[in-house]
Amino acid sequence: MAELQAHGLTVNPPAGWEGRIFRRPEAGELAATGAGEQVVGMSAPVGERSFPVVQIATLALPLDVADYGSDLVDDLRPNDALVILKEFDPADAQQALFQRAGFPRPLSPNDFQASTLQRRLDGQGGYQAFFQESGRAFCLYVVLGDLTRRAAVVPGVNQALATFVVEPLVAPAP
Amino acid sequence: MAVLITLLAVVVALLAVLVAGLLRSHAEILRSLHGLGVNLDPDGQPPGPRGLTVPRPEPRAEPRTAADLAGVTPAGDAASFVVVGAQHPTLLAFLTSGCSTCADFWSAFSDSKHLGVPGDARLVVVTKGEEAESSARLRKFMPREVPVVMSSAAWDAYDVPVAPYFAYVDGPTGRIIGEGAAASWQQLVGMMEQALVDAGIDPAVSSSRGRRSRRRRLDGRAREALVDTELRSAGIEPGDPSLYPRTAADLQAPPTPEAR
Repeated sequence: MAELQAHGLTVNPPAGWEGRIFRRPEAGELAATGAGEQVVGMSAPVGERSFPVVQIATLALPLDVADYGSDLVDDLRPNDALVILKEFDPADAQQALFQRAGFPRPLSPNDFQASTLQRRLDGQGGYQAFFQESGRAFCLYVVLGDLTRRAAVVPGVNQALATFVVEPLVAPAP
Repeated sequence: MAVLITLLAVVVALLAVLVAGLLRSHAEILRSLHGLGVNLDPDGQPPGPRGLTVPRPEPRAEPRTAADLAGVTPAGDAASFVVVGAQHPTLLAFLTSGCSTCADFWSAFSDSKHLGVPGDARLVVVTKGEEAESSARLRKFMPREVPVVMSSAAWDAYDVPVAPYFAYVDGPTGRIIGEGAAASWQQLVGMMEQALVDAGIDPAVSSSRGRRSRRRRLDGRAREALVDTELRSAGIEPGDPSLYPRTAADLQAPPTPEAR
């Protein structure tokens, strides 16, 4: 599969994975778009800034999926995996929550727990980590369709995680 | 008198050359249309919209294999789609922002829930890349529920000769079951259903993805409302400190007394 690059993030989904890198439009951006311009996907609440999200998975990604894939996890089959990289405000990188430095990879099958799920579905397992990289703040969230299959599925997840590249933010010109 | 006759002969000769050239050009046009699967035979099938009969996909000597898609979206995001090896079939629609026939398809895709894609295939629109297509123009009419990816490489991979053009791919085998040009959604459905039947597939049978997709899927605003309801039922109101974890430990800690 070809490399995806947008918003200072790069990922090269392995064969059989599909993905997207997107940023939900902010309320102000919606007002600024020209008449008739359509915006796909839910916009950020008024006054809230939005940041890029990377979603890659071993199944089809519907057009308007929640940031953490909460409406997609029902479709995960035993050998499926969903990887989410969600960015937060770079200013948050100073907070203790994001004190971990560097992208968490590779992952071990034992890193996945049934309790680490945004939506707890029987049989599934999840991994979540907050970290900072290149001055940016992120959450990595991975869901496995079947926790008992983690030894077989996590190598594929690691293959995908190895392709992530985070570029430092470029400060706007004065 | 002789001069007049000579002049007339020259004019007739020039006209004959002109007519021959026009006939040759007409033959080339007919040959190209036939190659695209368009049949203008007045003794053939009844004409469809715009005077064209329902086109049949041109049979190929060898079955073609499809290719996965990757590119940018009109909104400036990046997206990739698995076509080969997917559990579901995929209907690719190669459109442009400028052709008048494509405009009918853009309009039809704006109401994708009621389209009735043959075989419940996943519909993906593919335009040429940003070097050949206007993303600003596409944003004005791209459908909300059908993914659009801009990729000139995909046009090359599928050897797209003209727009609008369509390719129906069987996911598990990656084989292109049917492809061709069409002037309307009805024509396209007829063409693809025939291709599916020719391939031994019942167009009315849904794929496993189709069964999944028919489960009610909430849009973004409905999801937000549902989450708000669930949080409120648990006693968590907007601004609750538990919604703003500051450390990793906060993610595991129970709600503080003042949050209730």
